[in-house]
Amino acid sequence: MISIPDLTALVKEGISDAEVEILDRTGMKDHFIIHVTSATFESMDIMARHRAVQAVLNPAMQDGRIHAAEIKTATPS
Amino acid sequence: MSSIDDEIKQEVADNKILIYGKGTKSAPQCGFTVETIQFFNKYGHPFEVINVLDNMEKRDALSKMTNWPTLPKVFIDGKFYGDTDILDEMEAKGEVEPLLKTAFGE
Repeated sequence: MISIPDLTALVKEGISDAEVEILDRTGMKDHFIIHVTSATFESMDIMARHRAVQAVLNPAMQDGRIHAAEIKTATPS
Repeated sequence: MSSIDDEIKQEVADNKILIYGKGTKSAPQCGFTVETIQFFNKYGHPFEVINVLDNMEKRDALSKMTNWPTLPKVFIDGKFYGDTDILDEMEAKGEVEPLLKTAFGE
């Protein structure tokens, strides 16, 4: 389990300009939909963006705080 | 090069669209695997689902090979494309259709 503020902070630690929207899919604080918007994504293809977010989430995935995360990435319009 | 890596390489080579997931095509065991099957059903090209739910050794080999921690894992034409999180965004940008066309030589 991880709180949405902590999860938001975790993402921002790795992607400093990230705008993060998080939906807790089950209310159990471990299945999330995570939308990350960042200007740094402009130069990255979709796979690279997702790898960047996966890398940032990895500690919380490894220790089980996150069970499943559906990731969406976008650049500021 | 372990036999598991060879096995994976062979499976990837043998299937233009290959999904490593939890459960089988007829009995998927995980929502994300179901989503991935539904994604490819839309396109009508043949695809294969290989169940690695209970095969931790193969799951670890796949994660190392792709540097991607989660299942399902999708390969198209021998190349790794993650899961529907990525494929949905590629589809929104119109990148999936041409990819499948070249894969199936249309």
